[in-house]
Amino acid sequence: MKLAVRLCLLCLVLSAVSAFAGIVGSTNPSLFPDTIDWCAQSSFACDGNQYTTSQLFTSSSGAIGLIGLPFNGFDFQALQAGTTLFGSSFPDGMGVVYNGVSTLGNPQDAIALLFAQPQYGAGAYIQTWFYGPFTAEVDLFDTSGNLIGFYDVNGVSSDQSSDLLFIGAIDPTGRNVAAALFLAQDSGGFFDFEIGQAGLATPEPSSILLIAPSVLGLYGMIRRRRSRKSQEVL
Amino acid sequence: MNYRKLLFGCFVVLLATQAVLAQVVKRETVQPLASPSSAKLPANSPRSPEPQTVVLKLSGSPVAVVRAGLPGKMIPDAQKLAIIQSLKTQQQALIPSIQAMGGKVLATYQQVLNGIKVQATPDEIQAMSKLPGVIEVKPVMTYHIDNALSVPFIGTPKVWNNPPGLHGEHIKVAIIDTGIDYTHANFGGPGTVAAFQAAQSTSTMPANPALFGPGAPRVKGGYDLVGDAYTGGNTPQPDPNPLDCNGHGSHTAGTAAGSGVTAAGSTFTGPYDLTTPGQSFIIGPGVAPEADIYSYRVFGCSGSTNVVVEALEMALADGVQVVSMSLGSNFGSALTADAEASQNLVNAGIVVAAASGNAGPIPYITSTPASGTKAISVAAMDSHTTFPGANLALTPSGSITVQNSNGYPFSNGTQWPVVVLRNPNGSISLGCNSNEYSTATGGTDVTGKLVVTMRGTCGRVDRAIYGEQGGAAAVAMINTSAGYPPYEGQITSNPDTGVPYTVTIPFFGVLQSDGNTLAGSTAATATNTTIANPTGGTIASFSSIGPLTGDGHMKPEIAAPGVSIFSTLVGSGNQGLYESGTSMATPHVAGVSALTTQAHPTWSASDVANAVVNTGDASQIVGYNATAAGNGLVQPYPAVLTKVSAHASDGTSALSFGRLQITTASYTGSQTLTLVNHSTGAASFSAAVVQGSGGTVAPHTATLGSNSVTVPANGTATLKLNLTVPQGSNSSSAFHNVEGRIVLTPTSGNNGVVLSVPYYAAVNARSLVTAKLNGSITGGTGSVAVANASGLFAGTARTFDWGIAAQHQSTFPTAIRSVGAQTISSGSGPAVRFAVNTLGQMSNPDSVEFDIYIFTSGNSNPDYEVVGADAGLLSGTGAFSGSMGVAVFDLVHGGGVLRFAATAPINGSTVLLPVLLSDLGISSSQAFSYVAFTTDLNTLSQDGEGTGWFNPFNNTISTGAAVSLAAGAGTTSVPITYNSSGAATSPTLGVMVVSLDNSTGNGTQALLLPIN
Repeated sequence: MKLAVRLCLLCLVLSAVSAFAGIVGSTNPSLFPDTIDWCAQSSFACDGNQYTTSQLFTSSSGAIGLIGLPFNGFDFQALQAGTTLFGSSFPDGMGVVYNGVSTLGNPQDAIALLFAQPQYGAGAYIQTWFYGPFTAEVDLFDTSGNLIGFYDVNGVSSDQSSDLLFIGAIDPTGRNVAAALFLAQDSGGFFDFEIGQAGLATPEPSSILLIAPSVLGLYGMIRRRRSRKSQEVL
Repeated sequence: MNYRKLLFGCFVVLLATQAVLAQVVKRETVQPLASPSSAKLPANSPRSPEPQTVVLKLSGSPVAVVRAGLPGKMIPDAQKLAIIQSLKTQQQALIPSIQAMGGKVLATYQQVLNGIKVQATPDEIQAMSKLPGVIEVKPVMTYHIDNALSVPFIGTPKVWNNPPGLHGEHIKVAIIDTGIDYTHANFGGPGTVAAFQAAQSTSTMPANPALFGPGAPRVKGGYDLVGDAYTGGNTPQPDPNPLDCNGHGSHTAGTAAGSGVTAAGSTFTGPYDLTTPGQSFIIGPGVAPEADIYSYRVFGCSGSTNVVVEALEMALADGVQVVSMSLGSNFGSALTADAEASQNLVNAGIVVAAASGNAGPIPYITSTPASGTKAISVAAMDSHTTFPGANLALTPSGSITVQNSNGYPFSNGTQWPVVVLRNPNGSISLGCNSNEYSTATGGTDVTGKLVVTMRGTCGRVDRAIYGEQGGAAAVAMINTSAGYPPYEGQITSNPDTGVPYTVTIPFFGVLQSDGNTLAGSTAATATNTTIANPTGGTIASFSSIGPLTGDGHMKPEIAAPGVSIFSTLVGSGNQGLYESGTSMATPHVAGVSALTTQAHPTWSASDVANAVVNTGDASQIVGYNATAAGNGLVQPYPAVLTKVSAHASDGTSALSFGRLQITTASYTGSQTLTLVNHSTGAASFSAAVVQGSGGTVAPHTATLGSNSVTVPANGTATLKLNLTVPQGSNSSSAFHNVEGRIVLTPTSGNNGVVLSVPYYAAVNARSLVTAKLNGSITGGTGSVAVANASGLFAGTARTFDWGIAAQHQSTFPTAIRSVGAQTISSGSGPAVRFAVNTLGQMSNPDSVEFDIYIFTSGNSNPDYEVVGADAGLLSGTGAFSGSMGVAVFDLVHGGGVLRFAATAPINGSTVLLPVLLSDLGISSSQAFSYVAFTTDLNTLSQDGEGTGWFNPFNNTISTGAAVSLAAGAGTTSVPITYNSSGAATSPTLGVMVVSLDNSTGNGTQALLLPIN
């Protein structure tokens, strides 16, 4: 599925769909060690301002890309927990990118990371603006804009650090990920959310070994889910 | 046998535990203020939302931001006009929508901000914030004016002297103030009252170009943005003529750049050099006496202003190089529109000096727009080491030394009969009624006599005016507290009536201890003397202190003379008057900035500002500390000589570590200082740290990465400061400062100029109190387990009925996270105490107003409003007191009472607001509901949350326990009861455990325990 088509459908299907495609989803930030600190970027500051064009970012290893809100002509608000953002579960000092639905009146939109060079996968801390349960999703796209796969997981938004949620996904077949989209939908149905520190997967040999069992386990889950879904259809 | 012993042992342990509980779980009482007083509702109460003035900041860079990024910070006119036109087009597209929403467009900005200034209600502003292109809503603060020997005091004549021979020639200095009396001799005018009156008669018309404009001798430009009648609350009526009708702007302009007025009353034309201070003046020259003055008038004849950004726009467009703003609004942060505009100005190449404020030593109260990150915030110090005095030999016996408070001369040996104004009961009169000074009006014959009065009630100098008008030869006022009363300088008007009157007799200030001696005498023979000024060299008691609200960064930057400063008297032709305030200190620094800009024409404004601050002298401030005095007394001579400037990573002149919370580990951190050498010769320095100590300064260790540093020619070098705040050295959760200075002493180069850079952190030690429910308490009884995981700091736990929970995150720290209530006893009867917990840390809670609306009659209209706000605001004085009071307003019958002080720690996230139940009309078991609001008085950000319920006589969930938890205290169980039947009329969310000593991150000062 092409990137644009996929994103148009997201707001309709996110709350109803929870599925793995050919990717490995994870809530473990250690699988994404090439971190992206939004407050350490030279192109924007975590001062609460909105950035009206996509902004360049650089990861801790030097990978570069763009971050922005891709669909509605509005762009993100750069915040910092404890300084320009309060009442989140992000630890104080963490850079946060917000889609600005509540503070700026932005239309509901995804937060997209576009990579200059394909990556193995990407993840980020994520939560919704309004407190309560939410469903988060990360989508991976290849260099042609095709959806590689998506992963979603449920979380709770609050001001408690124990509720901090990380969501990420890896393409186990190789370095194919040209873009990653993040979304989160709250219990009121709104895509009103922000992401904290992000990370890129760096499956060097040791890391590949570490995540291999997870890949196998997730593959089993996918099979079970597919099987269950098939039974429902029947 | 053994089994029974074990049981017995458990029983003993249980008894012991209960005994401990009986000691530590207690019910508190709160004591009301000594005398309750009537209260006034603060202006920002959300109950009746008045229209507010804000700037809708738009996407797209204004001229100043673009200019800051260009080589040499110069922007071609064509590019500037294109930017302005583009932004205007963007703004015009939005204006119809703003007006359709009910907003009134007051101004548009393209130079220092890209924004639209709008007046609208909070709801309308909220709607406007969602218009396309609006990226931020910035408050527009309402400013108040902060009310010459000082120029030589800071060493200015050494700069005037050749070399370096700098006087500010061709440097454009903008004075944003009440306008200027360009007819005054201090600014090259005719120097006559008639000339001023003639100018005043046409003050809305273009000014005489011989006095104001490019061809004028001193005042080269400017504008009146408001008109005489502007008060800050009405519509400005601009005109091109910034003639002053208040006097403040003429005074400050004279200090920054006045020419000086000779003893003969004419304009001093120089030369300006080391010999200048030795000459006779009516008014001494300003700091940069040959700079070009640009006067932007933002105040009417009285009142306040909110058009400062407009003035900054004009100053930028006029190409000024230094801006002086002797105005401000308390509790400034870097987030206001004016602060951001100041910051943009510095980045665009303009040095900005602004007043720290006149609110005194209240943490975080330092003002905006001085709060702009790279603006120079200026504190005021007392430069007078001595005051004129008189020895009075008394008849029949005794002698006393008095202060000659207006400095009016008298001849040695002058003898006056003494007469005492007395009340009917024989006590010494205040002398506040002019009738007391003449037998014709039922008073005393004072003709030719020294009149003795007592200080109090009316303006101090009123007595001198009334005495002279009654024919007295001198007037004395006995002080009512230790020391001499304030030095007045020349008395030119009655402060209570505003009526001009220049006193030409001596006005003596008398020590309280000498009062009876003088009053018992019949005659006095006077001899001139001087008396030591007990506050000489100290920071003025009125000077606002830092750090900066919000991020806890270092402010103010520097100090300058601001007590009894003699400068231009508006409308007088060629006379002057004494004024005090950070307003008077600020133009000293603006003048120094002009000289430094002239000395370093290729430096950036940021480097010039840093040089001005780096060369401050802390040793000249008695009782120096950084939060009050910045880097010390401004020193123009080193500022113009230095070839090296130093700055922190954010470009400012101090290393700010911000707000630190110390819990279980020591804080260790570092910051890097960058030294920039602007010369062709290397400069080497030895480096040392001078740690602050005493007072509220916390123990700490500051070390440098190297004890020497060499800065190559036209290069840079860095120096690392390592800061350790040990965990065990800050024994309470009270607010402490960590401060000191890095001193860089040249070993070669830099013209021998010593540089210094302050470092600063705002520190609170924090407990780690935890709380959890022991199982479920919905069945009736249960307990909350509280403990303190900190092995170093004691903590507390207080139980409240949790009534309100926030629904969302926020971008401002004072938004509400939770609210609870507890029943508590007081010295005046049963009370309810509310706990309001915010999402983030408040710098000083006095910068926030807390409003709780109480509904006791069951309808949708609130019956009472509980307000937690600075007690000074609640009592109607208009001045911040530095402590929060709690007032209750009867919204049905009217009236209000201020009865309690709030518990509102600095750098906390929770305040406790006690209220007498009788003040809420509650005398029996009755539940009420409530909603809560917070308003940040700096940003005007407002949040409202509700609804909570509480029954003070029959708590749904028991409240009022208070547990002290020593460092490392194990678990203590606090019994809790749950009244399920009461929940029907007073529902609860659960138990709210408040620990004011905990950290503020993620709301740990209010531990929220929901019940099912």
